[in-house]
Amino acid sequence: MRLQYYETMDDKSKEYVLYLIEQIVPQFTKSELDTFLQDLTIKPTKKSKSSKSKSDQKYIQIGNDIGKTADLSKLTKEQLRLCFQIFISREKNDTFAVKWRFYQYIKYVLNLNIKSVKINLDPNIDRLLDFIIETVDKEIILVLCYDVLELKDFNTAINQLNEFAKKQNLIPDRIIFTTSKSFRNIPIDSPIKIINKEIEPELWIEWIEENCPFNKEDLLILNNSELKVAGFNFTSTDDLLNYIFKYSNGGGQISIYKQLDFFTEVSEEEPEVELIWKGIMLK
Amino acid sequence: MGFKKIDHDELKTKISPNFLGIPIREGGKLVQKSQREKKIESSYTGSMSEVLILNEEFLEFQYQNDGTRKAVTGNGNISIFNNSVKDRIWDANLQFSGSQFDNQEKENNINLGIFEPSSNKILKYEIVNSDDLPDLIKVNENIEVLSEDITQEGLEFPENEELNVCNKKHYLLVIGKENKVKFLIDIVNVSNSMLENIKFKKLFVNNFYDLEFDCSKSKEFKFTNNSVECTINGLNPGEKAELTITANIFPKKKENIKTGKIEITYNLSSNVISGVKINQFSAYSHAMHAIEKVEKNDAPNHWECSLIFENHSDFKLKLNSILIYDKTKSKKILDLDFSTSGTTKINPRGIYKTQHFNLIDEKEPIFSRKVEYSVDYKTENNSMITTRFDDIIFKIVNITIKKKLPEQEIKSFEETTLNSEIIINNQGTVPIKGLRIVEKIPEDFLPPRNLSDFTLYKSSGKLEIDDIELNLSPDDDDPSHEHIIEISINLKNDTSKSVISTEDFLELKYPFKAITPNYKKDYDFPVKVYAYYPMYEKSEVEGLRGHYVLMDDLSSKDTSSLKITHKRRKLMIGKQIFPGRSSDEFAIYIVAKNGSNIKLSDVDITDAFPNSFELISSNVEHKISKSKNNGEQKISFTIDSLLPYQEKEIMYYLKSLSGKDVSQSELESFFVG
Repeated sequence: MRLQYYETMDDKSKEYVLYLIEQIVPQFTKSELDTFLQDLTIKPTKKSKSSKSKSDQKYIQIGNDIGKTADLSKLTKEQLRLCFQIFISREKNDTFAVKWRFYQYIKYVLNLNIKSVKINLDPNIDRLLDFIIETVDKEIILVLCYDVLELKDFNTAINQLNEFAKKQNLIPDRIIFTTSKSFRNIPIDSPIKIINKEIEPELWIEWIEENCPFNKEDLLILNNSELKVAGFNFTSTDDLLNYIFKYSNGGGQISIYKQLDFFTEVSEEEPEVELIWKGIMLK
Repeated sequence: MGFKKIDHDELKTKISPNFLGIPIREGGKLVQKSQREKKIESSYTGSMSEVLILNEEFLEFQYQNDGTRKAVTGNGNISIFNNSVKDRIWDANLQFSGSQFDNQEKENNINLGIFEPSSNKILKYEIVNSDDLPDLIKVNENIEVLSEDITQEGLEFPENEELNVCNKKHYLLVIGKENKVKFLIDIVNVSNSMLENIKFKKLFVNNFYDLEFDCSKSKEFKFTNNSVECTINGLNPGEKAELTITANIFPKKKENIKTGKIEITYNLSSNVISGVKINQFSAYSHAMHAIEKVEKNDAPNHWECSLIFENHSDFKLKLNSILIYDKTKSKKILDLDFSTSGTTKINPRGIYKTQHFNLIDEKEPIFSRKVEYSVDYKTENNSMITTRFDDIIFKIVNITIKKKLPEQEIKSFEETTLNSEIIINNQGTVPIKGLRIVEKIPEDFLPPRNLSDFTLYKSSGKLEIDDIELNLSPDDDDPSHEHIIEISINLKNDTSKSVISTEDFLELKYPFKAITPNYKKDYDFPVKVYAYYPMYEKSEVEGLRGHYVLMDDLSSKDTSSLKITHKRRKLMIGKQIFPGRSSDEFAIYIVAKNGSNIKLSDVDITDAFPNSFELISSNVEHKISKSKNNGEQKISFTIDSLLPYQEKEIMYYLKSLSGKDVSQSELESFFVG
C-alpha cells in the first residue's frame, strides 16, 4: 500500500515519480497532455448570474493525435505530484480528478467506439458539460463529471441540459453522469426529457473492486511478457481485462500474472509471480 | 481507472462506500424500505463502537381467500457490521445454526476474514421447509352486500366464518343498481410475538366509490385510486384489529367484479421465523497484552508479576481465557477461564490486570502465555413479513320480467278464456337455482286450479321438472274476489340443478278465465318474481339451504294490457217513401245506422210491398219472394258489415202494375227490419 498517498511515499524524487507517471496507461498523447496541463492551470471562476450563458463554453477536440506520445520529462515536480495523486494513488477525488480519470477510462472501455471527444475547458465552476463524445455510429454522448453527485446537482443539470440542447440544437443520444460518490436518491430510473426526446440518464461510478486480485504496486504481466502494465492503472479485474482486450495483440487463451510490489520494492531474489486470471478472450 | 455503470437497484440497495445514504435492504426482493440502517449508524457514539450481527428474514405468505395457505417463500440475510470508523477487525468467525438450511445437521462455521472500518458483509440464506412455518396472522374477511333488492332466506351458515372455511360464500351484486358493500376484516395475531408496524392494504380493482374506513386500532389511513391503506402500530399475541370498509359500486356490465386482494406487511422484531440462530461470533481487534514483572525491593530474585491486557480499540473486548506457563511450558502458572467464571469485558481503552503471582528467579522470569479474546458483539433479529390474501368475486345478478296476454281485448260480462305468458330472463352471471312466481288474479277472473295447466319452457324447449308447487289462495271457484297464484319451482330439492342458467330464460304459460269482466273496472295482473341463488358454492354437497333472494316485479312498461270493452249493438233501420216521377211510382229509401261501438255483420233487412206493385230497380242486391197468403211480395237486402257508427242507404223503386194512382198508405206498414 505504499502508493496509497503521495505524502507517505518513501521516495518522492522526481525521477521515481516520473518513472511511475510513465507507467500510466493508456499513455497520454501530446495534445492530451497539453490539454491536461491547460486544464490544470485554469483557475475556476464564479460567473455572475447575468452571464450564466453556456454558449461560451470552451470545447476543445482532444486525443486526435494518436501515436504522438507525450513527453512527460518536462513536467515539473508539482505537476508530477498532481499526476501521481490523480492517476496513481487516486487520493484526489475532486471533479477535476474524476474528469481526467474518466477520460483515461473511455480510451479503452469496450462498446464505446469513439470518433471524437471534445473536452470543456470553461473555467466557470458551474459549467455544465465536461465531455461531448461522438461515436462512430454518430451517437452523441454528453458527459457530466462530479466528485459527489447530489440530487440538486442532478436536477440542475437536467434543466441546464435542456437549455443547452435548445441553444446548440444538439439532441444527445446518451447522458452520462460520472462521479466518485453518489447519493442514493438520484432518480436514474426515470427518463429525462431533452426537448422532445426521452433519455434514461446513466450513472457511472468510479468502482474499486472488493478483494481485487492485484494491488497498485504490482506489475501485471500478460502471458509471456506480451504486455506489462502497472496495477495502479486499474481498479478492478474487469477494468484490467478491458484494457488488455483493447491493447493486446491477440485473443485466445490468456493468462495474467502479477509480480508483487514491483513498483515499490527492490528485491534481488527471484521475483514472485502469481497467476491472477486465466481465460479465453475472443477478439 | 475503472468506472461502472450503475443500475437503479444497485444504487438503492448495494452497500458500497461509493453510495451515500441509507440503502434499502435487499432480501431476495425488495419487500419494503427498512429503517434499520439508521439504527446501526447511530450506534456509534464516538468513543465506543460495536460489531452488530443482524439477522433479517423476509417472508411472503400467500393464502387463498378461504384461508388455505398457498405458499411461503423466504430468505434471510445475516449482516455483520463493523461500525467502528477507525478499527479493523480480523479473523472473524461466525457460527450459526438452524433447521432451515439444506445441511441441517451441521452447524455452519464461516471464516469472514478481515472487516475494514465501517464495512459490512452479508450472508444470504434461503429458508427451506417453509411449509413447516406457523401462521402468524389470521385474517377473516366478511363481506356484506347491503342491497335492499337482495334478502337472505333459509338456513344460514354461521356468521363470521373465517377465510379458511372450506365452503365459499357467494356474494351478489345487482347489475344496473347502486349496491352498498361492507367489508368487515379482522386481523388476529396468532403468533406468540408482538407484531409491529402492520401495514394493511386492500386493493380494489373496480370502481368502488364513496369509500369509508374505520379501524379499531388506528386512525391512520389513506385512500388511493384503487386501494385503502392503514397502518397499525402493533398487535400483541392474540390481539385483534377490526377494520370496516364500506363502499358503493354500480355494476354496469354483466361481468363479475373482484372483491379485492388484501396485503398485510408487518415486522416481527427480535425474532426470526425460521429458527436460524447466531451461536458465536469471534474476531480480533487492536489489543495489547504483557506481563509486568517487578522485582521486590525487599526480596531480591522475588518477582511480583501480573498480566496486563489493554484494549486499544473502540470495541468492547471480551476476555475468554488467560493461560500462563513457565518458559518451558512445563508448569502452569495461571489458568483463567472466563467462560466458566463469568465474562470479563474490557471497555475501549480499558485495562485488565490479573492478580499478582509471585516467582523466584535469579533472572527476569520468562513466561509462555496464551490470551484468548474477541470483540464483543450484539445480535439483532428482525423479520419482515408480507401476507397476501387472494380475492374472490362478486357475482352479478338481475332478472327481467315480461307478461303477455295474447288476447288484448275481451268483451265485458262475457266468459272468455285468456292465456297468460310470463317470461323471466336471467341477466346475471350466475344461474338461478329456483323461482317463486306470485301473480294476483283480480276478481271477476278465475285462475286454473290444476298444476297440469301450467307449462314451463326454456330456450331448449319444454322444461320438465318435478319440484314445482302450485299454491292458490283462496283455492276456490268464486270470481267475486281476487286470487293469488304462487308457483314455486325447484325450491325444495338441494340439487345443483338450476332453473334458469345464465343467458337463458323461463316462460310460464297458463290459461285463466274472465268470468264477468266489467268494462268500468281497471284490472291489474301484478307479478312478483323471487329468484333464488344458492348462498354457498357447494350448498348441494354441504346441505346448506341458505339462499339469496332477489325480488323483482313487473315494471309498468312491461305490463300487458287487457282491454275490456262493453260490446252492445245499437242499430236503427229507417224507411222513407217518396213519390216517383208519376203518381203510380214510388221510391223507397231505407237507412241502416249502426249506433254502437261494435261492428255489425250480416245485417238482414226485409221490406214488403203489395202484389200490385212491381220492382223497377234497386241500388243494392236484393231478393224478391212472393207470399201466397196475403198478396204481398218481400224484398230482402243483406248488408255484410256495418262498422261502428256507420250508416248505409238502400233505395229501390216500385211501380203500380195497374197504372192507377196509388196512395202512399198502401205501401206503409210492410217494413220488416
